[in-house]
Amino acid sequence: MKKYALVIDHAACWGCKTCEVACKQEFHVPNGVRLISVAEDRLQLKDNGLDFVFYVNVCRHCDDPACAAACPDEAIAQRQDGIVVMDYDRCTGCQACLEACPYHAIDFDADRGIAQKCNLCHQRVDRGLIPACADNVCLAHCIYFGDSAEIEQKMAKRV
Amino acid sequence: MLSPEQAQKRLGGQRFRLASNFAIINPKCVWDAIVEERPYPVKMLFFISSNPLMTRANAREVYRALEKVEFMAVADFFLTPTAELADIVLPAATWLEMDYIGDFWKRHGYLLPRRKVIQVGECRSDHEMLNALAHRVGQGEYWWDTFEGGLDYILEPMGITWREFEKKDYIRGEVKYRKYEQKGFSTPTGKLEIYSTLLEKWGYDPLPQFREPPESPYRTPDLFRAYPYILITGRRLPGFFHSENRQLPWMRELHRDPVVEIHPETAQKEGIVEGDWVTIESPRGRIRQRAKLFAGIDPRVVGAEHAWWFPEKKDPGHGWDESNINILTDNSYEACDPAMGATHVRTLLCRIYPERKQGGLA
Repeated sequence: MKKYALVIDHAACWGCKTCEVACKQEFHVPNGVRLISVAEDRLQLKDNGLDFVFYVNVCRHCDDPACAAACPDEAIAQRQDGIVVMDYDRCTGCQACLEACPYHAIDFDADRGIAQKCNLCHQRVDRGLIPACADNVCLAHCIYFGDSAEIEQKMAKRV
Repeated sequence: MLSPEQAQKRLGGQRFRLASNFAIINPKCVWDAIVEERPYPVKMLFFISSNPLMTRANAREVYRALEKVEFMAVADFFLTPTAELADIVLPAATWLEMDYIGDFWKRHGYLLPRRKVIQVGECRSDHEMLNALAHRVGQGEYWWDTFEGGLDYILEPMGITWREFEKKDYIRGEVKYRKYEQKGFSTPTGKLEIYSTLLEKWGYDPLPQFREPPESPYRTPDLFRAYPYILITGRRLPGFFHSENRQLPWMRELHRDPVVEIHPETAQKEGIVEGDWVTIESPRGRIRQRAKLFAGIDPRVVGAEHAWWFPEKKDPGHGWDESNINILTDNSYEACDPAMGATHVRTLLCRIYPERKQGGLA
């Protein structure tokens, strides 16, 4: 099965956080829980002036997901297409995955007493759509989803 | 429409003679009229799309005036700190709840019928309120039977009514460029006036001049020693607009607290750490915002956000004076632009220090 790729071009991101809002609209996770988040890194001095750096954090859908290994309830599993999906019905809220994730990409939803993470909008992807954050909402057009070779081509064309 | 005697009574009309040619009154003229009853007492206020307690200079004076005024009505979508001081709050219709003509200042030539799609409760549009009010105060002859008549009036030059227009997708007028080549500019001389003959007529310097701000390192060096930073206010945030949208939890998740930008070197000098609550103080008062270290700002300058209130605080004040930068701004007539009466909100002096110092906490 073909693997999907989600690529975020940090150099192009200018921190509008529209991806965060699109994700919230898709899943309505409570205040404080963020499946994708944009952080502002310090402004950096570059050769030709000032440069703003933003950092987008989201589940990496690792090849060997540490969260899945840490979950005692087998609530996290990797699909054949690489998407690491958390089954919220099986989650008991032990938060072992939060500890295990090396990217701090999993949040705890205190309202429902469960962990939540980016499931790469698999419910959309399976219907032929692309993830909410990548669906032409990004004002800087820096979130790419799909075939990794095609994404590379698209990014190379961009100046 | 006003008789000359009536026009004479415009608050601040003699002092700010450019503003008096627009529908603009310097706010302090109104506060003074309420508090000091000069030149005559103002007894009623009706605010539309306005939250002056948060957005007008010298907020404490604004508060005193709003508290004293005999009758006050506010039309708004939300219970703002200003609305909380009102005798009557009228729920205003949003743009989806009213018919209107989307002209967007017509610069691209498009006109769109903006049709009402929903009625929520008893909400009414500001326009409808004003039209109805005009009838109640005996000025109905200058207005329309219903506000739809106002829309017809706007559309009249195109020879259609609102009922006809609302069936269309849009209308685009003829687009003309370089109109000045035939008609000149809309100035008395028809020229682009760098030397303004109108300002001259109203008794002002007709040429643009540089003047040092009312308070500055050069104009007020003694004050500058006590307040050693230049304060600019009103740093813009995408998603918020002036005092709007603070009640939306999602927006607050993206930007929870008011933020003041300072240069890292300045922060170090003042013992301020990223994310600290800091006190910003001017000769008028002090407020709190959170420090954000930012190398893109001049080390001599501090850049604060404005119009912060906290709808999540359930007391009627909603924290209006905690982080409100207008506690620090100055609205004295001498400090205002002499022609327009605009307040100087980006040329103030301040001091800034960590909040923990003040309370004696570590």
